Amino acid sequence: MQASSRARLFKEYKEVQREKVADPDIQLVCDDTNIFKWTALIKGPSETPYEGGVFQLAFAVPEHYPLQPPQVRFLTKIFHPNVHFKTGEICLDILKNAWSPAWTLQSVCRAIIALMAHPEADSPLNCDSGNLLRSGDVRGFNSMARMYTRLAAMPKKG
Amino acid sequence: MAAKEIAGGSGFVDDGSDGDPCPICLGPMLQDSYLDTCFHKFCFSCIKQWIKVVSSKASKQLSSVKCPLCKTDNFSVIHNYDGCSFERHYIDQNISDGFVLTKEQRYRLRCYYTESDFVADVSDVARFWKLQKFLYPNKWLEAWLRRELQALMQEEDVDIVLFHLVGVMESFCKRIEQRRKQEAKSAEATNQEQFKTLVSEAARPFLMARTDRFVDELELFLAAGMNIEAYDEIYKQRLGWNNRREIGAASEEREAVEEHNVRTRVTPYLFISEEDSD
Repeated sequence: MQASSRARLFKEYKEVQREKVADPDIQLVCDDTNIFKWTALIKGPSETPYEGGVFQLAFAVPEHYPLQPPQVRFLTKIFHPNVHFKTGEICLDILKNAWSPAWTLQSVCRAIIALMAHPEADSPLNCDSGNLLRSGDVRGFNSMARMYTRLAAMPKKG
Repeated sequence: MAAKEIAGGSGFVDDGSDGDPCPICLGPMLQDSYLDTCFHKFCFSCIKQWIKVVSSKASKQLSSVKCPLCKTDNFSVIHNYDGCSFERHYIDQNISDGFVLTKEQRYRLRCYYTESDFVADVSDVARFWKLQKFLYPNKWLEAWLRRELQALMQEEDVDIVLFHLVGVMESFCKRIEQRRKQEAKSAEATNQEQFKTLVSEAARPFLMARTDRFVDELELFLAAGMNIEAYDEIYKQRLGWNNRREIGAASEEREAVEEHNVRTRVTPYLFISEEDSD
């Protein structure tokens, strides 16, 4: 079983090497010693409070991958209704019930970028963030998210 | 990927190995199969594993599965296709996998994609009609018909069609017999025509486009006057199928035995129907 997931991850690894130039917003890196551990750096989408930030994701790939989804969490602190503020856990359907084995680590990254641009306030993991959006306080939400992007996802100045 | 790059540009498309990797394992397509509604292709073992995972999560027996690529609902996976037959793996395990052709039935189905005249010297059709051999019962006929019908209709239960055809043939023979008592001789050409027309008519609703060839094959088998094993042996030998190119997947043991057999390829053989009887 592990052999097939390993083979598939290796295929993805090669694909990532090839595509690196094609998708400048995603930088997927495989752990040097363990092909089941990956990290990704994704750029915060433009015209969102995350713009200009670089967010680090950690992937733990299960041995039954791609029949089971990878576990992904934010290592970089982010203020987003669908991301747990403390653990970085992500609430995204494709990482749970809607997973399909045709997804790849790369496409999961794209889905997470899309989630950053389109928060789903009705299924919040971060209630404070969800409540701001649900009460219509977009400005409040944006400034909080912006602040955390500056604090955690941007290089320190000076 | 490499295969695609090599083949790229030449417009060469080899079905099954067209270079697109399986979306699940990302490797080359092994035992390619496709979903019955959206036609997306996967390795058979990959999509089967995925179906198993989805089913294990469901609380009740699923009847369909969403395509991993497009989320269309699909009810079965088509696999093991070779241009003349295929197998179907239903998502709902209560629906049996349908009727799966045996190796022998696959061989018969394959015969329908060849020229038919290469056994003409084995089955002396003209003589068969001239000597009115059709009036003598052929004890292998039913078994031969059953296999033939199962192969052509890809169905297990062919009893109705089988007995219908046997009935038509029997009543034909009876009529001829009665007529023979009255007249001295009946023209074999008209018998042959009549017989083939009758059987064609009876079989056509079930076999459709393959009816004519079926009737020809039936005539050849009857005229050969052999049992099924002997007839198959010769038939396959003539086709050159008892060698490497044996149909069906698991034929290694057979190949080992027949490896040293003389390789005789089919040479189109023109059969002259007017036998030189003198």
